[in-house]
Amino acid sequence: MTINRRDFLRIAGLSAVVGVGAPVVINNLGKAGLEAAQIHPDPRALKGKRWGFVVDVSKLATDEDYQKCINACHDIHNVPSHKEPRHEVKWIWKDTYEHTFPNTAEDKIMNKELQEKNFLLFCNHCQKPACVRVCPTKATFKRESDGVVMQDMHRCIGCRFCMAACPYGARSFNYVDPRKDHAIKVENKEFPTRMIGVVEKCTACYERLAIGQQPACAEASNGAIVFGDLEDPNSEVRKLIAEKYTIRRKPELGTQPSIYYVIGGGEHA
Amino acid sequence: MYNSGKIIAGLAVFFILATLPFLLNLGKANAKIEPSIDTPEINAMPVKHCVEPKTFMRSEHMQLLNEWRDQVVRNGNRIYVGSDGNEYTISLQNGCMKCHSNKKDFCDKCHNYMAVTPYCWSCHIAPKEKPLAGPHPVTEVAPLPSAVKLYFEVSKAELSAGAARELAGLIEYLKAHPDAGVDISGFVDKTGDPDKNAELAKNRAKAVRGLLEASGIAEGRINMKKPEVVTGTGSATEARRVEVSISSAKGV
Repeated sequence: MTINRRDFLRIAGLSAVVGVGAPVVINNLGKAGLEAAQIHPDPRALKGKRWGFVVDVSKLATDEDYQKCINACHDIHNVPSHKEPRHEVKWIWKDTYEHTFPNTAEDKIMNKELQEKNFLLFCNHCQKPACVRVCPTKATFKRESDGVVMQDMHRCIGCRFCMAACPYGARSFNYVDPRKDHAIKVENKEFPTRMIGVVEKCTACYERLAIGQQPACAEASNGAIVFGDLEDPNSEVRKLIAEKYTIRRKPELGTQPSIYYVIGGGEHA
Repeated sequence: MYNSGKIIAGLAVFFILATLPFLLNLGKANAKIEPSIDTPEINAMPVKHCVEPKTFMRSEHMQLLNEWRDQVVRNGNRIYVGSDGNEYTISLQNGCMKCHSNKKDFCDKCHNYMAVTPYCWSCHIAPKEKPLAGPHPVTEVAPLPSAVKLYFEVSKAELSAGAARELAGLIEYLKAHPDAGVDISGFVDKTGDPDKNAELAKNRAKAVRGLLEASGIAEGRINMKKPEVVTGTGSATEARRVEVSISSAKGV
């Protein structure tokens, strides 16, 4: 078969038109989604540009006080407690000063009392989250509206890149089925569990914020955890940060975490 | 043909094996699956309605659920405005399953039939199944008996001979459900003196109460519900009646 220049150009031109136009047509064909007017947030929802926490562990006296915050979170989110330590799943936990702030631990002049205290740790909801950058499926993502680093369990494929990326150890992998062996003592029927093979972490109680409630740990902490909008200069968190000496975990990594730990009183600072 | 015996036998075995699935299911007509909406929550609704009409939900619920999932998890939108204009909470556990509390008879029935296994329930917690086929299936699932109408002769307040039989279903239900009460309303036709008629309507209701009490229903459970208009609706024969219906609970 021979083809002359005229026909070749004609076919090439037509192909180009079809090739460029087809994706537009196909994309529009598949759009049977919901109308924007059909869906909106709950009017009670808390609104903030960048949610953050101020944690003042000097207000937590006993082990029970820590446990109250941890249980408040783990109970409502169906976080399993496995017997095997290597299967541990945690959203909020406590650890020593040395482990919380490894880069300042050699400072012997610092407040001794504070150095002997335990700290409450949970997801920092970083402004530049490393976990989000590495997630291959966008299962973990930063919510544009309020800065919460979310975890979409429907999309997680369990590759654990995010666990390797997170410098704070805030993420746990479900090595075993969380529903087995009564790892969840009492199920909260209002919240899902997770399944084997997905990564989970603190989600800043997005389900509570959506109906106008504070995160569970803040509510149970008796003032030790204060939650608020870091972008709002009049918020309680901003006032606390302004009047007390606070530090963040591993700021040198540039992730810009959103949890501020109070390590000094207001009087002298 | 060489080895014809073996070949024919082999072919026969192959034929039977290949058609076994059909042979086994021969005559077992695949009945159309009807997901059940018989749950206490749905039955308690004055007007039964879902977020969208039934036909839409049947064919589109998967798309709707996917869309809902993305809106909640990724955009934080939790309110859905249905085509009826009502607002609904977007949630599987706290929305859908609050009404459809019978996952086995609602979700699973169809999904099994269609051989699809959505992964919803590996994370979402299904509502606790109500004991439908438990040890007391009859009393558990007995539907509320519909109101019974007893008819009377002109200006008479005596029960007809068949009244006891008419009320048998109601009485049985009342005995099985000690919490349930019963409403009695008497009516008259539009002829005659209004004062006398009011008295007559009351007497008719009392006659029914007497029968219920005689059948062992405690007096406290019987609620003499005076109708706002004692003149009954319908023809004169229909108007001369007493309506007996179950009220959900005593004193309510």
